[in-house]
Amino acid sequence: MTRLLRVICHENLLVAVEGDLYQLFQKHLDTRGRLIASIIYFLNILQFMQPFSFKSPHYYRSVYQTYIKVILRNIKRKKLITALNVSGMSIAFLIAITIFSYVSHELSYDRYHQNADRIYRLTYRYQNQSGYDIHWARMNQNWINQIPSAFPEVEALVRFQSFRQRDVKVGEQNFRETHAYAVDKQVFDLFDYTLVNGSLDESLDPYTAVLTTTTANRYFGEKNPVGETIYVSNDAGEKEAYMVTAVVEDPPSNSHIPITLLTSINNATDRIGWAYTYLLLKENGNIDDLSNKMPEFISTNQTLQAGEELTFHFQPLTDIHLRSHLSRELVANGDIKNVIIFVSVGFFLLVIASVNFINLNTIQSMDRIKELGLRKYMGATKGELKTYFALESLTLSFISAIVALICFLLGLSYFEKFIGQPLVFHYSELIGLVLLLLIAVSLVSAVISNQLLTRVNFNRLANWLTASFGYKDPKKRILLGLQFSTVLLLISSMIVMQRQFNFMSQKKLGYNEEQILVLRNNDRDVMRKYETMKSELKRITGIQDVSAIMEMPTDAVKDQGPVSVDGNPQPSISADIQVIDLNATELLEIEFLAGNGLPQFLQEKTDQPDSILWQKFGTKDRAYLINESAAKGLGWSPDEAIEHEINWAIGNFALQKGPVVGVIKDFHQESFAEEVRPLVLIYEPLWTTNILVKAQTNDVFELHQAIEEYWKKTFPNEVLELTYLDQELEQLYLSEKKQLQLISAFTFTAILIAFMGLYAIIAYSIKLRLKELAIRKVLGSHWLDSAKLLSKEYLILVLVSMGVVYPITFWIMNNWLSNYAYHIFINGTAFLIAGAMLLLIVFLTLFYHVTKNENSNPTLVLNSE
Amino acid sequence: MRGTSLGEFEELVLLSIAINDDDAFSLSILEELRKRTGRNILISSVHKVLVRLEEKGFVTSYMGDPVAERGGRAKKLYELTTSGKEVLRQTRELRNSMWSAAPDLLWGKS
Repeated sequence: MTRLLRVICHENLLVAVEGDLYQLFQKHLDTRGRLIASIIYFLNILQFMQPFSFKSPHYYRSVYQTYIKVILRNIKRKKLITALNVSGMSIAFLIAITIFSYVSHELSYDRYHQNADRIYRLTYRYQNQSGYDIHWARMNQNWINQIPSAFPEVEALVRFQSFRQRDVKVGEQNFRETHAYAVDKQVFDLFDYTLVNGSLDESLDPYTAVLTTTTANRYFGEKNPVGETIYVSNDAGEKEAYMVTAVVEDPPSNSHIPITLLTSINNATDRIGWAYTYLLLKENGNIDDLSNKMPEFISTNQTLQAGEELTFHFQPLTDIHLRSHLSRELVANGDIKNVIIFVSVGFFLLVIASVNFINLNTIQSMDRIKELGLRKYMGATKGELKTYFALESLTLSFISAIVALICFLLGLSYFEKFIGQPLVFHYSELIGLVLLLLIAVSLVSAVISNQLLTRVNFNRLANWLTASFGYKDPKKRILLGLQFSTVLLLISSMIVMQRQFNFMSQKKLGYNEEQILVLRNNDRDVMRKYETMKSELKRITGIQDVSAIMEMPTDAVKDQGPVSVDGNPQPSISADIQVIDLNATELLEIEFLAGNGLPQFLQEKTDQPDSILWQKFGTKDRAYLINESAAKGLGWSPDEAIEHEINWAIGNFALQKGPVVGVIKDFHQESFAEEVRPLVLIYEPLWTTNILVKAQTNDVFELHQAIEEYWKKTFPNEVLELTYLDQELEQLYLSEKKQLQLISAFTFTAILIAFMGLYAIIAYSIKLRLKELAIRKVLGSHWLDSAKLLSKEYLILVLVSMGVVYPITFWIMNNWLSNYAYHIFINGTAFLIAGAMLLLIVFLTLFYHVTKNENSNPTLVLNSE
Repeated sequence: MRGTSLGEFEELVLLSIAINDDDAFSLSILEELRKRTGRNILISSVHKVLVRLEEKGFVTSYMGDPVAERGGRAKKLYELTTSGKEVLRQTRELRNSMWSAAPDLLWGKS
């Protein structure tokens, strides 16, 4: 407390006031005891926190002016070391800011809705005896529509249905929308959409549509779309007329429902089928209570077989993006794990950079120890030296922060391009973070510099180069060890990630993805003409073969059902279904373990009306292909499998029993993160949607054009979605790839910063021992001996760091790898390489410094006193 | 320099300095004021007024010798300047003249 008084109080008044307070304290001590006296003393000091007793502004100006002048002079004089210091720190700041912007974007998902805390998504999980267990992000129980009337705490239930691609016809133009939904009118009570044009009150009445600004622009250009009519396909593929009643802004990038078009649900009877379902709870509603009432609600509406289990789950809206990884999410969600990875990388980088900053700062101050000694002789108090150090590090980190902020603002658009979406974050929070970091870093640095330097015995100023302090200081060792550890952690993790990624990109998919074009998501009108199209496409030069498949190998198989064996009514396993044209296995070059492809006799005319095809659906002859996993699941070797008959069903769609004609090697549907599941392949023209085209030309561009031309001629009213299979595959691994790139960039930066720090700290420790080394040299020691002597110390430190940090790395990386169904195992290489790299850096630096000194004349060093 | 008029508390502090003459420092002034007015006065208020009075030029100060009972710290001793004495005198005269101008009737003198 007295110190506070000293700091604040004007020097003319200080002694008198201190004296008064002391005298009063003594008096109270005698009469009223220590406690009361202390309290009064304390209160008395507080009284003096008034302007009249403060130091005059002149005092501050004069002191700080000199400080800043000296600091700036030092910066000018030592351009190199300052540049190193500032650049290291600004890079760290820059990365911290970048990570902050990314992480805060990820965390901000869906929080912008006013009612965000009262909105829940309803999901369900279904389990049965045969091991079928799936948690869906969407619902297909139509009776959930009764929830608002059955439970008073629910204010509204909004369905997002018709979520598959929908084709839109505007005038003569055709568009395909992947995020067009049919929704209930109350959607605007739940979610915040900013109205641009038209009226939300009249929107989403039957046969009305709401466009986003981007969509409106695409459809109508500059024209006002409100009141216009568009034709949107429904689930059956028929186009219906909708009137545009409103235009809203595009939802921000931190929304998990990236809508482009909303259409009305036109009849109460249309409120059925699969839908993403959101509930708005009333202000006083309790979600746990509602949850507890669900089992009863379910059992009154659905009779479950023995062994079946159906549960409803309520996901808070704001948790969906980072914490929900269910079947059939609207869009691929982020992952809280990534957020944690990025935050920790940012933290490590900051630690490295701060340690570095502190080291460089201290070394820089070491050179000025004479100046400091002089200051002390001239009457500078410890407090003033502290202020001086704090001011110095504050100046440097302030410059770094400004540089970092400018770089961030300049590079933000590139970073957003890299991430793939605009980032949503608050600049005020960002600036707050920078200020916080700035103050924290400079305070820590000032405290440490102060500890190391002001404790020096300045009376022995002339002998300050004694080796008695500095390099043997355990604090310094901890700092350096921390730096070593973080570098080791980052390098070894990066190597593991790199290996996993290489493993994924080199692992055999189980099919040949090259030179395959895909005509995606075709509706029945197109697929009915598949046979003629196939023969006509084949006539185009450069096309080797044409086939069809239900789900692209890059997409998830959406249907899963029980398999029964040899007419046994009890299902054995549950398997995914993939529907292919007879020649698809050949076109994709899928390898067979036993048997052959689907037999030709299954072939049907595709251009019959759907009703006739459906009539035959349940009764016609079937043949099955199964994959290795399915065979294993059924307990057969591939050769045994082809002696059996199986049938597959999903819900009401039961297929006829048929022979297993072949067993294929497992191929990867979706990414390697997913395990290959048992799969059954059948032929069924009703269910194929994608047309595969195998090209046999290098001029893919020309082929592309030829296909487009053919399409326009044949299907003037249909949208062509033409992609390349290998590009789609690349897209699958894009996020992993980007993650790796980011981590690599950060690691590289970390190594760079650490290297700079290492360089400085070794230079510093050698400087402290210059005299020792000079004497050794005079006495005839070889420079290698000196190098050995110095390196021992670092070697020990590196080894200790390894011992501490490798188990941690191993644990972290094992956790990360467990995200992937197919992953590498951590062997020692990553650790060996990381250790070797660090040692190499250390020894190169050491070597450089020792040889540099070697060439100097030892007499000069020894004469310097 | 701020105005030369004297506030009530300033006047009392000046008078206390005059009373204590050779040992006028913050605590003795505080003691004097407490004794005479019976008010509970804060030590910081005394210092505050002293700083102001010194700025106005009514008092000067000098450091005394270090005193053991003050933890070896010196007293800051105050004395009236000529203008300080003058302003006290003026204040008193002003009062007196106004007193005499007030009609006796007011005071119930019959």
